[in-house]
Amino acid sequence: MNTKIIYLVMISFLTVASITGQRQIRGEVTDAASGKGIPFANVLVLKENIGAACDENGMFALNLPSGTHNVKISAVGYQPETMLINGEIKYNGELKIRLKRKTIELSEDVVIYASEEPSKIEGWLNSTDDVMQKAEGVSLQRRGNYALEPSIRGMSAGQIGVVVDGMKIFSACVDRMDPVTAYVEVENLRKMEVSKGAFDLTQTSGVGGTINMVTQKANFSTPLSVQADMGYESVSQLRRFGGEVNFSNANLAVRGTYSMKNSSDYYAGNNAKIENSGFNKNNYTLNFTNKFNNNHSLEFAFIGDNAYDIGYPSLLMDATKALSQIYRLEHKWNIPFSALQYVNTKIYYNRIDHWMDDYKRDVTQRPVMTNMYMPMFGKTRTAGAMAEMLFLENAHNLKVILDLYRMSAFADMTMISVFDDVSDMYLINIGDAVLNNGAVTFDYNWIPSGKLRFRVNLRYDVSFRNIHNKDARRLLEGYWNEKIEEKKYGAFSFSGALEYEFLKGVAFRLALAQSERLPTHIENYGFYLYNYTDNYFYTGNPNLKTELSRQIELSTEFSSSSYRFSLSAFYNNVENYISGLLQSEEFKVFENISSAYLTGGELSGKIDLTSGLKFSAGLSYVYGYNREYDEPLPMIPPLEGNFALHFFGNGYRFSFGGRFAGEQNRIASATTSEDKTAAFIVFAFRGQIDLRDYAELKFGVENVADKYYNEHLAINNLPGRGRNFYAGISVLFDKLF
Amino acid sequence: MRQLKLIITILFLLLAISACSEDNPVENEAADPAEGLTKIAEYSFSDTLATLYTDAEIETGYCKFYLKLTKVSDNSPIENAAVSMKTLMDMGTMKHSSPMENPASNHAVNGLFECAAVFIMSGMWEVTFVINEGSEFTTSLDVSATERVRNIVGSDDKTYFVTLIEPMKPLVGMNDFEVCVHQRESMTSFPAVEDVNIVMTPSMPSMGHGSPNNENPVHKQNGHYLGKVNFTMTGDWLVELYLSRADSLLVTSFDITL
Repeated sequence: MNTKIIYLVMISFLTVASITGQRQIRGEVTDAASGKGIPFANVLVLKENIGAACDENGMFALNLPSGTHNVKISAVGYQPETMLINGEIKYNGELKIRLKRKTIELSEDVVIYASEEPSKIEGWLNSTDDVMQKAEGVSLQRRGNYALEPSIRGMSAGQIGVVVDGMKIFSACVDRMDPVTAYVEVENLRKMEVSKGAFDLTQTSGVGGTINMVTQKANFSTPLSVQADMGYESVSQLRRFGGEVNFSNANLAVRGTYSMKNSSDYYAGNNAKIENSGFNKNNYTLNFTNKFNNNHSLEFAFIGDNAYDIGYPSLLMDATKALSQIYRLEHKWNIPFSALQYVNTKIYYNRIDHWMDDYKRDVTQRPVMTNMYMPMFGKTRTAGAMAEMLFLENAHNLKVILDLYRMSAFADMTMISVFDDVSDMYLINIGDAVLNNGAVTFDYNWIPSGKLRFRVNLRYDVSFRNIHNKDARRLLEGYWNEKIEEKKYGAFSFSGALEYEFLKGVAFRLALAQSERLPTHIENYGFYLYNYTDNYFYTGNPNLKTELSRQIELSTEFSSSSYRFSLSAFYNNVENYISGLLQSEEFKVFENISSAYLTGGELSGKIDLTSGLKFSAGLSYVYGYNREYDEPLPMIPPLEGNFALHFFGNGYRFSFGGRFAGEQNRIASATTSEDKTAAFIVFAFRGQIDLRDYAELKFGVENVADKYYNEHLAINNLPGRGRNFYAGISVLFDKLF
Repeated sequence: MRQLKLIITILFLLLAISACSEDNPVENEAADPAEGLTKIAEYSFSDTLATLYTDAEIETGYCKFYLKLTKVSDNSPIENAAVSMKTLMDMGTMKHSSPMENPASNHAVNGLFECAAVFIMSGMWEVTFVINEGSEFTTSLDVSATERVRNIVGSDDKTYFVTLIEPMKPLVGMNDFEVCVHQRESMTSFPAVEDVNIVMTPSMPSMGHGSPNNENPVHKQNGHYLGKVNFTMTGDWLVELYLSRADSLLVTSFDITL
């Protein structure tokens, strides 16, 4: 193995050294279903402003300068493809590019990785949290300066699905300190697919939507690349360091990354220090891809994420340790020019462990659990298998997805009084809850013409679940006064969408969905779980029904080469809404309340003012109403928006913009106890400069005016971060020498 | 490979042996009715051997006794006998008895005559068993102290004894709850009280909460009241009992630690 690597490194240096001049690339762009050439398709080398058009048979010829390039291939009625091409090494012969017909996109991509169109890349952002906020309709719940939890169109937790490369991962912390988004660092994120509502059922049947974090894979386009990053953020004295190594030959590509972050307490606006808000974490990934021939590849991927001493200022306690290991093995089988286009199969396993305690807090002064320390532990284990296959036939395509997983969860807490004469108390919060889930999804697209598209999703979920810990079973049986048997759920969800392009650049879309969401293991089997938003202890209900949502979305898009506006409006009616019902003083139990609805929409626009100057803006609003209690739903974001002016050119990019939210006066009081929140606006300046082709600087100022504010979704009114100067540099060592 | 075969063979053998032993449990000719009980005294009359057993520590509170009677000549069990018991504590200046329960009938249950006493204080007690109105034997028991008996004076100025029987080994979740209630009529008469209404509230004083689905104890027989108590976590619990009887109200509580 070692000699192989050395050999590989030598070869790669030799190859890099021998690069000179240009080379002509010839290629053919074909329809993925029919194999026929696509006439007049466009081939564009991004950043270089060179391109070529295909002839009537889909053939093209292009003079490619030395080095690796992002090449975008597009054609009317087809989904554009962006690929990394290195003329010298791999594509001496003819390049065959297959485009799929454009279908209805029910999810929105926030792109991080640099192989995409540069002006769309959000890789200059500092964190995964910043990336999530880029999608209109996504808001973040803040508990500290670490791992904000996403909410989509006013729905969160069990109502939305957060997956990593399609893998189901479950937070181990019963207090939601460790949302799944914590495990993927921005450096390791290729893109984030955000689907809002239950229209895209390919990942989960979440009634609120899904975030799929697509991770960065090993790259075949360079023999060797070595990159190092470091950065600093003033608001919390955050120090960050990271590195990445990628090497490849024709059949094998390996990418490894490491990153670490150390953060002290952060400052809110007006220099207000937020105690207990620092954290330390490291994250390492390995991706190993082997191509057996043109059609088969096997990928092994690992993510390890370790965080220590994470402060949660808005909670009663801090996390001392959060460890996660995520393994995936995926086989891809591509079958060109056949009805069955590909079969992707993966198996995965992940383990998450989470410890927290309040030893650093003054427990004698707090209003709840006074004079009591309460260390808590939680873990989840998930193993799953997925298979996805795509059938293509001219105007029809059908994706079939099989999705199986088994998760088990355990959580407990000890309560230790500050007084010696009080015995320790022990409680199992989740006693080996085991969920065996299976789902089959059909995602069918029909594209009768270049102007009209249909999409239908059908999904059926089954789940068998139970608790296995003897003591936990006694607790729950005592609570419910009945025997707890294995619970079986079957849930059928479906959606349909049609999209019509009236004119070139004017499209209209109607989508409908009915989705059944399975309760989470916490909603079924949690016991005395403390909820920080309303200060109640929640107990799960093994007899919960599925949450049933019926949704409609209307959207329209106007676009040309210099602008793009889109507008969406939705209405989401939820029956059997799962919510905490007051049981007795301090205690609540999860019940299906009769009904609730959410409605709202998003508006976004981008205009190229002149070359190198762009303006973008977005606005989103959600209105949630609980019919049972005749009051607003809790944790609903107010009117929110952002705007920015972007200047960019060859090797630089700057933006100046703002993020704002209106006041939120619609608050829940019967189901929880919320505060009203004032409006705010914060400004940010960001910059990115390429130093030759071997280094990249990123820098900026967030919350320029050092405004003290808190967002409505901040738990216990935790203020947002104050003025933050940040700077970072990344160096590509293979380009440096 | 050879090792693997060996291991597999051994595993099969083990499996076969365990299967055999499960299929053919060794039959005892006659199961000893006192199996699992602790012998505390033995006494023989002319042709009768009386053996006294208990099922727990000899402590204050509700204490069960099991008397086994055997015919010495042919070692056969005696199934029919009139058994009764008496208790006495001699405190020098005064003597007193305690609440007790004699067998429900003259017929042994599973070969044993069951009696019970409520030891209302710790110290040396004399326990006498009378068999068929002629034979009797007395044994001395050193009763250690617990917190399971409450001696309370009701608002009717009468003295009551409230004794916690279950849970002896409390677990998290739902537990059977049993108390017995007796009244002191005289130094030697402690009849069972069968007409109190009991309201029970368990709570954790250090946490300030209780638990749901508890069932108030209701009278079953002989002054025994059965209910359910739900302990939602380990730790120190306080079970408060409000006993009402005609115009009299008794309030007492038990500390139960899991």
